[in-house]
Amino acid sequence: MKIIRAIIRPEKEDDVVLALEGAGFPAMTKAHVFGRGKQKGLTVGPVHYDLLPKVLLLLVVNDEDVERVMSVIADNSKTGFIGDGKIFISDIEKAYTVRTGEGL
Amino acid sequence: MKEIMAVVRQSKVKETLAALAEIGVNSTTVHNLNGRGRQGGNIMECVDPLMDVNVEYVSKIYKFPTPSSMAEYSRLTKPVFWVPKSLLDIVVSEVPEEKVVDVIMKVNRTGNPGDGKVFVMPIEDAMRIRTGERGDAAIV
Repeated sequence: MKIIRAIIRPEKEDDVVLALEGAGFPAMTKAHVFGRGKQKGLTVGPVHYDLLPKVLLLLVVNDEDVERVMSVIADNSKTGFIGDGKIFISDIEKAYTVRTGEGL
Repeated sequence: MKEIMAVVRQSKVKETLAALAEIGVNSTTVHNLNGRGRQGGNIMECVDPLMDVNVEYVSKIYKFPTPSSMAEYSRLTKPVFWVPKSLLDIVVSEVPEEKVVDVIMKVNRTGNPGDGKVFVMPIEDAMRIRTGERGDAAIV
């Protein structure tokens, strides 16, 4: 199993979540976070914004679904401008459902 | 070194932390965030009997968009539901991770949907910033 951490634009959150739900991945966790990227934030005229609001989505999926979930997130959160976000994938060794105590 | 990520009910966090302290796990990071599971976070369809109050009232407390409130100004085809959850982040080296997982599951199990998930993942390295210790010594 893999965990997918996607950092996306807050305004694209609903689109991504509904698209993921449509693709059969309704289960996820979301956190409102602040971050910055290669451009070190955003400068608008004299004002510099160091950390920009983003939404972090956490999904745990089977290995074979990773590419599909990544493409769903990317297609629905893409605007083509800087600040679209990143997707990170890492390994999960074990996963348990608390209600039943079973491994997934 | 293993990282244990547990998504649990917010009301069970204190109890979980107390139970973890008994087996010697004192260092935990708690995030309060929102989640949704197989039911799509829709407590309107899948009412949790532990929530001892009227569902409409709960949704007002947590500012859940209910179908009726969303219908007024929705640009979406359907509402997106979220349930408030807590994410516990625990990194262990000495205490076996099975023990931690067992304790978390024992405390949080109610038998209803929404009990949460526990994930175990490997950690490559760790560093205690104060002293610069690396590896297992940084966590103990």
